[in-house]
Amino acid sequence: MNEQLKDQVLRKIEEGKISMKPKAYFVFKVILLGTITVITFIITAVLVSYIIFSLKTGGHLFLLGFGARGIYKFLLLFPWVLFIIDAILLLFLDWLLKQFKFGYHSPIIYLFLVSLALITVFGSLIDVTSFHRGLLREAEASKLPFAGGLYDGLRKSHRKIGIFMGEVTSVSTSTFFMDYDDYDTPWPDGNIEVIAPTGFHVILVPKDEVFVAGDMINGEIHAYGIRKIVGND
Amino acid sequence: MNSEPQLTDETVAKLVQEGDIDKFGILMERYGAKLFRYGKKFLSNEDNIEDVVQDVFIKTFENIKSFDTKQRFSPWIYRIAHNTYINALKKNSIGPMYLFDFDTLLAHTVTDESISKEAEEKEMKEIVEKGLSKIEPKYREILVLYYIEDLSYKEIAEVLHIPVGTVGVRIMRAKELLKEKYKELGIDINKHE
Repeated sequence: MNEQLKDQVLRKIEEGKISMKPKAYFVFKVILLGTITVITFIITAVLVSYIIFSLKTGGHLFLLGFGARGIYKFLLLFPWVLFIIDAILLLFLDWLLKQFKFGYHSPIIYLFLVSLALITVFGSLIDVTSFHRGLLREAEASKLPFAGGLYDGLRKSHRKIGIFMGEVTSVSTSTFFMDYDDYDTPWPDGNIEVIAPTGFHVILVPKDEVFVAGDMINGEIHAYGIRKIVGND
Repeated sequence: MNSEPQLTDETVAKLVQEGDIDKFGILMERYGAKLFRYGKKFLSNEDNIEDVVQDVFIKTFENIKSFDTKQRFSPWIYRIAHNTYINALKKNSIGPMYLFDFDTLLAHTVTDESISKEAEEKEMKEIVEKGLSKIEPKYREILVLYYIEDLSYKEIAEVLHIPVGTVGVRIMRAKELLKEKYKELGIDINKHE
């Protein structure tokens, strides 16, 4: 051992040039790290639950059953930005977990898969609660002071992108009429005829809530997919 | 300072934590030579090794209250040294270091280190001593910790913050790389094996 180096360090300590950080500093650091980890986990899980909720509420999941065109539309409408933000948050969460002993002793792939599974489970649990439904109602009543844009419009028709949601008013053999409003004007869009795709079998009755994917041509919707909405309060 | 050999590192660290600052000299005496050796092998191109080691001791003192005296002191101080040496390497390197370690991605079976180490220790120590500067720091470091500093897999995992299974895999890769380098340089490796 170089005595000179030892003396230099001890002299610095004696002169007060270097000092021990208090125990509270390290306790605070651990608490801060733990808090950031928990908050990141919650935000990531809430985002997952929002993505699931928005896909269900907006009827986008129905698109997956409407053939290649429906799948293409689903991919176009998928909330990719939120998904990417969530993926980044998940990676950040894994990095945070790596700061803990159990984290750095675990292979990265295990840590990633376990955190992904936990987030998906918690996200699904949040989706089961009335959390998002409550926020949706608040947003639709313009009472949500923040994040209203995420909810307002989820249950609305979007003529430009070819998805429509409304209430069946009358039914005939291969067509039916429905009331819908895409909120593009202050007044409702009114009653519109929907031409069902060939081989459409779902039995509809007046007052049914429906999700329709199709094109608006000459004031009629030429649908390539129709689903009855159940339990979308 | 070394008149108290009965005190373990952990006890000495506890005394320092409680304010017996002079006892820090004991820790410096016990680890000075080891950290010099570790630093010299790991930072093969580093000229001011003394400054870096001094930095390690300063950080050790500053952070000693974060040391859990129920744990072993040796991996803890080596961890500080590892971080300090990595920073010193970063200062002198162009590319990013340790950006992503694929060895830590999957789980690896932990091999019986005692059997494999005993059988080859002498030869490997010799090879490691001679050819370390020729392989990248990630592999250089693990060989130093295992063959020269005599740390166990578990302790190395603690120092490098990697899974224990990864330690074995990385040592194996490091040895292979070292042997390849020897071949490339035309050095007869057989006389060591």
